[in-house]
Amino acid sequence: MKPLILLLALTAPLCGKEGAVECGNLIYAGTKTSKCFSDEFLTTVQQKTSIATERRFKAVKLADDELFKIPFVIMTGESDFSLTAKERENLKKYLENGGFLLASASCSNEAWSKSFERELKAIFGNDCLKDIPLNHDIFRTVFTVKDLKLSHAGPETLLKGFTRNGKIVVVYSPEGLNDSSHAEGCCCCGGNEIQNSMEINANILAYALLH
Amino acid sequence: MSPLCPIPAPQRLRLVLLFISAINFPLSAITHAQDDPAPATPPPAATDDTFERFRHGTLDLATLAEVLPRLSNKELRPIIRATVLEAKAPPRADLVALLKHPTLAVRLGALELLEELAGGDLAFNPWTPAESPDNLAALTRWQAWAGAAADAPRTGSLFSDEQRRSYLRDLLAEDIDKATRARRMLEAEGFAAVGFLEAFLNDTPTLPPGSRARIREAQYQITLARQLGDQAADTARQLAFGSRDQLLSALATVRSAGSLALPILRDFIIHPDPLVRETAIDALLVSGGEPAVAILAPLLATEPDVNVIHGALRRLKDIPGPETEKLVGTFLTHADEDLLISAIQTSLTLSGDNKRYSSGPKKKSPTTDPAVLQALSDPRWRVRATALEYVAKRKVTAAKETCLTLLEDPDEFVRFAAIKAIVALEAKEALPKLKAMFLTNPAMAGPVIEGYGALNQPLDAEILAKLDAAPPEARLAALRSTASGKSHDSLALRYATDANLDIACAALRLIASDEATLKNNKYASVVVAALRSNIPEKTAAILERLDLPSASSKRLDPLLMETLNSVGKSGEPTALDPLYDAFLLPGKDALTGRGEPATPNIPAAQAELIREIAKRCTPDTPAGLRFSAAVNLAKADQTEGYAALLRDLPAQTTAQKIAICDGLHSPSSRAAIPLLAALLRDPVSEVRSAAVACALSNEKAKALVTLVIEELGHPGSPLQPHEAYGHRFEYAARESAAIFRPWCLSVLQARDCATPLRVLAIIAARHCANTPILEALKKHATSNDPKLRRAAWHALLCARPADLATSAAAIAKDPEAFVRAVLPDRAAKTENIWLHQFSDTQLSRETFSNYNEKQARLTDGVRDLLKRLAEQDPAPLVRFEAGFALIAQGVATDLDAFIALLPRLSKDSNAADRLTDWLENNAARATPALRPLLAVINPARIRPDKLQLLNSRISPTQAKGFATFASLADNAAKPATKDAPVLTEEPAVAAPTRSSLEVVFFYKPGCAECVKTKQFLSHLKSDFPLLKLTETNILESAGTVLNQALCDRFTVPSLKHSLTPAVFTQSGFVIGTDISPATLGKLMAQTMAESQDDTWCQLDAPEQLAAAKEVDRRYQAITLPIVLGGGLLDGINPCAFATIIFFLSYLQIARRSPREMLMVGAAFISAVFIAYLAAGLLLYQMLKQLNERFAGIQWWLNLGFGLLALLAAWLSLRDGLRARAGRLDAMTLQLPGFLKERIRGVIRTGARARNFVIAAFLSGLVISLLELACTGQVYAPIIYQIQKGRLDAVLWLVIYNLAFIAPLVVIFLLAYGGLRSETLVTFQKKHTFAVKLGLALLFLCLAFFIFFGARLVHAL
Repeated sequence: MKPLILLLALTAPLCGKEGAVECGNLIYAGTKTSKCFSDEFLTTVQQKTSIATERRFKAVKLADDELFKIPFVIMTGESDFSLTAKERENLKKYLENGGFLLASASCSNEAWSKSFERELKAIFGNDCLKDIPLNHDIFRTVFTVKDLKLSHAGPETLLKGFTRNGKIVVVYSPEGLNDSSHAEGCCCCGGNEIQNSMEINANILAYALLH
Repeated sequence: MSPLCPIPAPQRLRLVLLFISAINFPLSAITHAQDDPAPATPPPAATDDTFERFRHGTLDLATLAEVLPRLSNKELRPIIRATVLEAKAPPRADLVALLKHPTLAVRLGALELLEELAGGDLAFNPWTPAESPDNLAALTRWQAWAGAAADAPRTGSLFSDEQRRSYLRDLLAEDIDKATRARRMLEAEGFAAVGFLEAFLNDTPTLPPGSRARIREAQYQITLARQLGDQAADTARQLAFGSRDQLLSALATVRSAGSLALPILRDFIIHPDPLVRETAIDALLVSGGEPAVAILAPLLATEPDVNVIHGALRRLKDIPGPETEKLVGTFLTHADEDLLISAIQTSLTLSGDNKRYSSGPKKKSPTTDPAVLQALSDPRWRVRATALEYVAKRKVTAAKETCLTLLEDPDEFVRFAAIKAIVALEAKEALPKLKAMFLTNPAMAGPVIEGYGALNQPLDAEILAKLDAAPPEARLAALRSTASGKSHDSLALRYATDANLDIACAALRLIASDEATLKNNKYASVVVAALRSNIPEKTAAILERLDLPSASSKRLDPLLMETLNSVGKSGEPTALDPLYDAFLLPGKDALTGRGEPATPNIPAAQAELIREIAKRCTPDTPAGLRFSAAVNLAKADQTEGYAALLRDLPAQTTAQKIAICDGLHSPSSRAAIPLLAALLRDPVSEVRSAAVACALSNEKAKALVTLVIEELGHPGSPLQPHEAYGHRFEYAARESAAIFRPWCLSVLQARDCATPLRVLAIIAARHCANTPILEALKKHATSNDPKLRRAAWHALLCARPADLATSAAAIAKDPEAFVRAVLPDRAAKTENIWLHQFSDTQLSRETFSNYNEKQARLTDGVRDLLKRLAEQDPAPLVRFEAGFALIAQGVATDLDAFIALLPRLSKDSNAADRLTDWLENNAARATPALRPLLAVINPARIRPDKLQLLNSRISPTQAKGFATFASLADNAAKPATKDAPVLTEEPAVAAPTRSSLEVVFFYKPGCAECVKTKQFLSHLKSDFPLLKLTETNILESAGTVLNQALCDRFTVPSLKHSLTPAVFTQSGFVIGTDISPATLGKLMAQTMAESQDDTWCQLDAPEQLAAAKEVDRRYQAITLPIVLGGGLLDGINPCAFATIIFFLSYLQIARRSPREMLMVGAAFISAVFIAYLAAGLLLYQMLKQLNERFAGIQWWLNLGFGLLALLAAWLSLRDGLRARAGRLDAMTLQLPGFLKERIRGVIRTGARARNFVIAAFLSGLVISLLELACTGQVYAPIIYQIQKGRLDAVLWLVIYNLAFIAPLVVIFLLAYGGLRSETLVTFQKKHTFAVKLGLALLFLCLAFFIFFGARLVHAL
């Protein structure tokens, strides 16, 4: 698929039903689903900004070209995984052509984090992920976020981002941005989740759509 | 003009304007108030002392004059109003006297309070002197009013209709200040005013929208005032006139108002802006529960905006009930894909069994099932996948065939979902398809192998061979699929030595991360070998995920275990015993496929593993891996681990230090002491707290307990008493009283000890109180330091609850409110969690409860003291707590005054939630007198069944709550319930008897919170000795299903489904962050108070289980005679008779001695028994496999075996007739001639053998197998009958075969006594007809039971 077509695909259907932004929930590694990521922030963005959002994630396969119709996708999970060749190819095209990925290890799952970092490095090189400082615009789009509050004591954590053409296109947290307390049947059992994740996710979505 | 006629409008306007000026500026600044004769100097501002006196009830003229000007202060205003208006005897006369005060601000303040008390201003104008002619009449009226004894009622008809209409006019006028004042005045009348305004709106349909909004604003403010206090006015304004943002913000605020929010939110669920509707509906469902569904249903049916419906469906999940199911069901055929998916998911959550212990028949399939089954054929893959998820979780067996079809779905994700559904439905007939799926597409390795594992099916050689040859991704996927279960953990062993490093590391991670697996020598050997290979990737993989078994039991360390109540009994296991014992246990060779992988088997591999890990504690190992190695070694109580951690401590992060403390539960090596000592002095408070908890986790270890308490007393120690306080501290103080008692006494008797440490010692003292300690506590109860008085009184009454009556008066008259709060806390259980106050800033919540402590009835004296505190205490919190204690003890209380306190309490008091919890716990005893509380509780917090019970108890005629403003007014119009009992008497039933306290605990491997919860539960065993813990891994299929079932049964909020840690008992649950020692203890205590009913944790409904048992019993009743009769008849049927005759011949040929004959006979008969039993079991297994592998085969088997039995019946009858006609040779059912010859040959050979006993045994085996060709005709249908039921196959086959060999034994004994074979032949000829006839009848019966047995069983 040529970049131009991709770009058009990304911008034209940026809005879903009645002009609302659709957010995707990735199915990756064949059959892994991104469960346990609360969609409450979609409502928050709608309430706090003029951005119209669909209130639920739409399941979308990373290997499917339908991915290119959705401007913002989330990815989460537990345990190891490996992307298929087609999925790697799609992810690269998606991010290089305007798509945005919010990725987070479910409940600070180390195995998932390592897999995600490994996959991203395999696609974009070893130094692709950088810490996002707290003074970055992304922390000021909707809410002013001064720190990332962890559910357990620990060292300060920072989000990591992959920047493309001056714009962050991947935001990733190994500590968990899932807001699992608002997600049904999800358990951050002992993990070190980021507690103000709802505000942060709302900021990230606004950043992705406005930058 | 009536005496209560308001001031004319122009005059009022001036009054309001000037009042506002007066309260905002010094009086001297009001230059335009020429007519005010007030002095140019401001009134003396009340000093803090005066104000404190005022708060404590000094309401004399002078104090009031000083305090009233401070009404303008927003913070002080509510305190002043409440102190005056809620006083038992409001100072009416003094306030009237102050109308003549020269200071305007005093007059305005006095008039404001008087207006609230009287309901009007009696035409008094504060802007002119009281002596002016204009005011003389009004002043006279006020004086007359003050002289009257009767107090005007605070609720109901406070105002006359004329007054109300006047306020109404003010509301509708353009004058903002008038409207503000009118709202405030109407607020005093409460819900009655709301009803009046509602009636006005209904009677005036043509009212312009702006005016209507003003009325609504007033209604909102009045309704919310009790809950939101000062915030109510702003919120009401935003609701009525705010921008979209303000409106959304106000709706979020309203959401917290509980049931009272309902009538307000109703105005917004029909708002033209979809986002407002969505937000209002969300709030309505959260606040309103079931009544809200009824309000919403008609609107949602016509709602055009999909997102609004999404929002509603999200909340409807937590409101189970037929009405909700029906509403959600309407969206199950919606054209919108996302909405349909959302509806299926909501239906799934709702479809559980909502009725606990339902006495009726098992709940039928939800009405949603057919619609969801329809969705399985939807052309959209997302819909099919979601429907499959529903099928899997609901176990919709009707969908089995469709699920099998969907295994061939073109969409990979749907196929994957179909596998999950197949697994849930236990459809083993899918295995061939699964296998084919994998063989044709190795990418499906993960799902297929996960499916095999969940179905408990071994992987066959073909699958394993294919997997070996598959691309690495497939093997990685296969390994990942084993991570959630243990069914194929041998795959990890198989690939731990794989040439592909990624695969080998993945396998090693799996093995290393599971402490249970590491207990197996074979697995440990693989890990050791990998470490010895020195391949960095493998070492990293192992150490990153290593989870060595913890050595958590107590080792007899001579120093550590030096306690008074030593646990060092002879023969007690050492700390490493569980580790090493487990290591030395032979591992189960559950390998599948190619059998033993080429892996090393190192003797005592676990010990070697520890040595290998110890080698990684050196500085040349990367820091992260070194840390993991050291923590694991320390967990196993290895000195090297402690030493390495201590050495690296300065470089470790706070998180790592806390991880050390969390990981080392119950250390029992002296090597732990230096490490913990260092951690106790860490500069970070959280680390010090964690170190205390770690040290006290082994409460029997005197050295560790002493380490903590000595550190607390060390002058330079950074460890603070509040950091040491926690569950572990309480538990240690309780369990190690011998250590704590002298420490407590020394601290309490010390002269120069700081207050925080004394408070900590007082807390500990209640667990080990003896006479000297009690004396010391009493001294502290009279200390000058209020913190010590508070702690001491609390500890004294915890240690000796019976002293409440004698101590109550002293506590009640304590000058400090937070000391007086001890009395209500100890007088009744009000869901209060006590706050230990170490200093002004250091506070800790109580972590201990005496769960077995019964709430004693109040003595008259204590009740009177509590009443006094409830009515007169200057501190709202004490008034609230005292009132709550009285309510909890069932004492009639002024609930209106009680509720009015709520907005004045801080959020920390958690008042609304505590009231909610208390009402939930006492729902069965609640009376209508508690009705006012319904307006302030949070219904969403109460379990639906309890809420229904509560509503029916409190408002039998209005069980739907406060759905409209009219119903609010109706509620207010109900007769006052001030003196009515709030609780019914507790039924005088005998204490329930329990033989056990079943607790189901769901955990997730690797979850630290789960480990803590398990420790809490183990501590609770000392309070609840009957506690019986069942641990369930939620990741395993059975665990998931059980969790779902219990969540359904207890109507657990959907957000808490599948969460760990989760604890369920017969009476309820505690999940996730709600878990604490206190909540767990409370749950156990509640459960102990209920009669035992062990069906609560059984998956199926009790009646279904009982029915199943009954079916088994009936099957048994039918099968027993068939099996016994069949065995006996089969034993003498002509087929077997031939063998008997041969056997007898054999004995005669052999000419053995009597002893030898006995041995030969026993060997032969045993062999026949064993051979027949084995053959029976084999056939039984074959039938079982056929049944399991091929769905629908049961019918065909029924037909086949039924026809076989009928054929055998016919042939037996024909043979019998032939035998009676003397044509024995023409019989069909007999051994063929060649087999008879063969058997004869076997007997002759055996008889000549030297080892005649062995020969007899072997002959028996061979003959039995040959004989099966004939006797199998009887045996097979009987085995089939056994297999049809759920009986113990082995037992029944044993019974059959005992009956079968019984004739053999009889004949053998006769032969031993001299019977000859010729006699037997004669017997056979003579009785063959009867035997054959009996067999025919038996076969007929058997055929009948095969065809109709199931119906017969159910009909009986």
